[in-house]
Amino acid sequence: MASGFDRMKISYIILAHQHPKILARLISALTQAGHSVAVHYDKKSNDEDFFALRDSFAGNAQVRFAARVNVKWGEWSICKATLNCIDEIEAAGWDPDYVYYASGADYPIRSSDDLVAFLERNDGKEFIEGVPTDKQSWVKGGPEQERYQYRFFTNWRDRHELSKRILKFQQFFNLKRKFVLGLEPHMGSQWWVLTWKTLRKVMELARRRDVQKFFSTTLIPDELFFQTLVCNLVPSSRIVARPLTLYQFTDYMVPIIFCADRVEYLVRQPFFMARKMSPHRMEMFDELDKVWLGHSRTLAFANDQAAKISGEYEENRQRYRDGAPGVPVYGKPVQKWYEDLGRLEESFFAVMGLSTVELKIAFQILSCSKKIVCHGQIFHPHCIEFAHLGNEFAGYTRNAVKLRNTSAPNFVANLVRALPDKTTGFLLRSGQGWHVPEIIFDRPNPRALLLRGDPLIAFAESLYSSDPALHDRIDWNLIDTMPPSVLVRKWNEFLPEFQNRLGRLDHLVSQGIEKKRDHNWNWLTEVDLDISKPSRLHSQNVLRLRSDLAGWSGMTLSRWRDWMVPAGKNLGVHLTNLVPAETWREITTTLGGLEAGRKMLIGALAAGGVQISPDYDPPDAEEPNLAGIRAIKAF
Amino acid sequence: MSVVGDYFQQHRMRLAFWYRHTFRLQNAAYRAGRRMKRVAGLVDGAKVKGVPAVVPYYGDHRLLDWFLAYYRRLGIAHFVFLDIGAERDLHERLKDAPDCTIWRPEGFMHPSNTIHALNFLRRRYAMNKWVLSVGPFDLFVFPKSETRHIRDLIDFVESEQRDHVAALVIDVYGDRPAREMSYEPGMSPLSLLPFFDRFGYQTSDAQANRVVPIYGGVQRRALYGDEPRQAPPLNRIPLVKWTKECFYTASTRHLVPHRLNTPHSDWHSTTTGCLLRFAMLGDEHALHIAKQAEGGQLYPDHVTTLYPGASQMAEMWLVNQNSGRYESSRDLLSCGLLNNGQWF
Repeated sequence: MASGFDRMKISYIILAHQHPKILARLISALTQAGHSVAVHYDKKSNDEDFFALRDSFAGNAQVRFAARVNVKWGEWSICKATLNCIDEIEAAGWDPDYVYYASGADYPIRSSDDLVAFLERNDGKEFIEGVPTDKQSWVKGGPEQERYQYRFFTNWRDRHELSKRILKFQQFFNLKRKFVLGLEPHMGSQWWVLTWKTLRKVMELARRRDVQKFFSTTLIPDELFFQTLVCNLVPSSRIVARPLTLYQFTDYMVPIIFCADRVEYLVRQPFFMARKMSPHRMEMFDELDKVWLGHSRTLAFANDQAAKISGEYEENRQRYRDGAPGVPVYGKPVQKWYEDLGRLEESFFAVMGLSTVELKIAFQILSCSKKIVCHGQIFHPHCIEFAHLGNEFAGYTRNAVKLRNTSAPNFVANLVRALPDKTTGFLLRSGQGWHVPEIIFDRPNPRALLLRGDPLIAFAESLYSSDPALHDRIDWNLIDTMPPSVLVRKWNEFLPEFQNRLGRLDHLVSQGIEKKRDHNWNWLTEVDLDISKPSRLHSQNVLRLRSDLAGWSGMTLSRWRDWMVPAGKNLGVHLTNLVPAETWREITTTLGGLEAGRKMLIGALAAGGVQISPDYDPPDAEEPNLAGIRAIKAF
Repeated sequence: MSVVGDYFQQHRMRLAFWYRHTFRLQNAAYRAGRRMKRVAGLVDGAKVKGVPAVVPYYGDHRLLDWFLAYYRRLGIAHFVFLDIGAERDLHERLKDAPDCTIWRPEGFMHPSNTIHALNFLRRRYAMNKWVLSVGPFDLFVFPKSETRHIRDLIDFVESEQRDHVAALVIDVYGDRPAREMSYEPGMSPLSLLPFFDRFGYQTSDAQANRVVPIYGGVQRRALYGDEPRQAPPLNRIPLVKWTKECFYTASTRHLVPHRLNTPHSDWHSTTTGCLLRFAMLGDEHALHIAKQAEGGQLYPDHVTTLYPGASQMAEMWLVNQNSGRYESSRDLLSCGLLNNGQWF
């Protein structure tokens, strides 16, 4: 704990201006480990606090208080305060090996023994950052070489306009001055650790009247004064340009304040002190005292790793600039097109098709998987069809159409977030869901299963309802009751509309492939079945899916089995093994019914004079009418 | 009519509006102040170091002890209560609390004057200080508030050159109707009502007065499913550096000067808080007073107050897939209800 006779002696210089209680803790911790401390307490600050502090250390020969100076930002006074402290160390006759320069907001984050051992290993090295600013830049913004080339008589922050004018004036008349004693200017961080030998040499120069006069009219001399003198006096081989105190900055260039729960982070860092500490919770200082006195152990680091900043905070700062990734930021204006889907990172899928009957078969198959939650037509105009035809899901009831309609993307995002450990999907019949189909092809995380379907079935469906629900069945008897001429007229009206919708879907797909390629997103892969992580795009797979499924004619069970294999792969599950025989039987019955109805419809149309072969496939529309979509997108 | 002349004319009229508006608000505050009496505590906040809280008190004593304990631990140094409960006997309850100042109206005070009275108290006790304005059923939480001091939050926000912290109201509920539960004094209300809605909130466009309304939450889904646009807004600005031009004009969600109504800046987001509201545990009478005080505003919006819903929801079963259990502020962070910003 206390340093032995032959061990290295360290003196601390501490500049403080507030929180006398924390300062008292810091001083007593440092002296407890056998070090000596010279304290400068700002003259502006409360006198009573200072006297109380001084009295509490009255009997302690290891603590001395320097003559107080009114310290102002960016002025010579801060160097003056430091010089007073050095004078105090000299007057006390401590004759230390090293002097550690710190502020009252700092606190040790490693044990005293570690520090002493480290300095013994690196005896004779000067830990001070000194960048020769004539050759390379160090300042991130504002004046750099001007800081010492011109004279600054006023405070740069308090009287900013005036100071700038004085600077401009000197620049206009080219009133540059030479650096004092012909020294080479160096700049660096204010916080240093120096050997006493060097510091005495520095003091010889620092006491000179011309040197003091020169530096007292520079800007921010605390980043210039010691750095220049040390770098000119000491060979560069002895200088280690890394500070032993950890400090990091926010976006606003303010040093971050470490709160009580960051002790774990601090003691991992290869530094010996950290600034600044939050003064509001004492538990933090209790824990750090234990570390400092060697009661709790910290992770050792190699000599060359000393004072290297880890990327942890920096990563955190970049990552959370615009809120936590993947979750909404409430109160921040959203992109109106995407709303919550713009920030959602979880995968989900939509089964897109042109008739509800066919979508229902996909729904039945997909519902068999335990990994998947497949909802019905969640954008049906009259109700919301949840998975397993439930009455309520994620705060929406079956009839909460108005609530859903306040924002379609938010609604989808809420459904997806409700069950984070399952893959959510839903049926998207052509014409439903406002711009959600487009978002699905816009964003990298959603997937689409395309089910273009049979025009005859879609036509039969359209005869009895424009928005059929999942449990509805096609009423084939309607065809018998309808005169053939009416049926044909309706067919002729229906077919272009169908082609139009098909064209719109194709357009979305072709656009989507381009976009997803931009996103570096995969569509279907056989190698990587884990849908949580995106991999390469295989446009061939998309095309295969389209040729297999899109242009079919005639519904057969084997067709459905064919559809399932890639669909299942796309979602990361093997559906063929999961679907129970009962469901297959149900689907077979449905398909049988559809096949029979289809034949009936072909017959009825033939009676009206329209000949359609049983494997009818509609020709692609020449010019799909996309004006509507473009208009929405432009908006 | 020249364009330049038009511009200055507009500017002049705008200035005139603001002078008149703030003058009226200030007048209303002083007028309400004249009709109140200090029953206990300090004359003003000049000698208090630390963050004060200004609280309207609706007269439910059961939750008081826990309320004080929570906020003292958070770092609130001074509580200023406006006692508008039916009994008006808060000063008897808080005889041994030196950090509490209690005011009460002399005679009848119209509910719409409550906000002016509170503005008066903030002017008196929190001028040029950060002040927390919460209700007696509100629990202010911010990222890692279990281990951090409210001053830590303020220090960080000040380092980003802001002077306000936005918060989202979140109703907490239990796994059965709150009416069936029995709350005993001193108990944590969160042990009875540990659930909250993880999502289902919606940020609307900023209004002309720079308020960014947020709708949603359990009240919208439980009570306003048929007319979601009538649901109460959940955005609040409970922590503000109070200056002489500051006035709340509707609950704590609308603030003059309007610049303080925007929670985040355009280019990056900042730390926000949450107000966990356990009003469902409050007694009927206190909730009635709360409803009047919050609803009777300068801008009359009785529809959009939060309190009428509390007594209705106390009889409902509310847990579903949307619910998350609240254990620490981390649970709110993980679903975006709290935003950590770049606070390390």
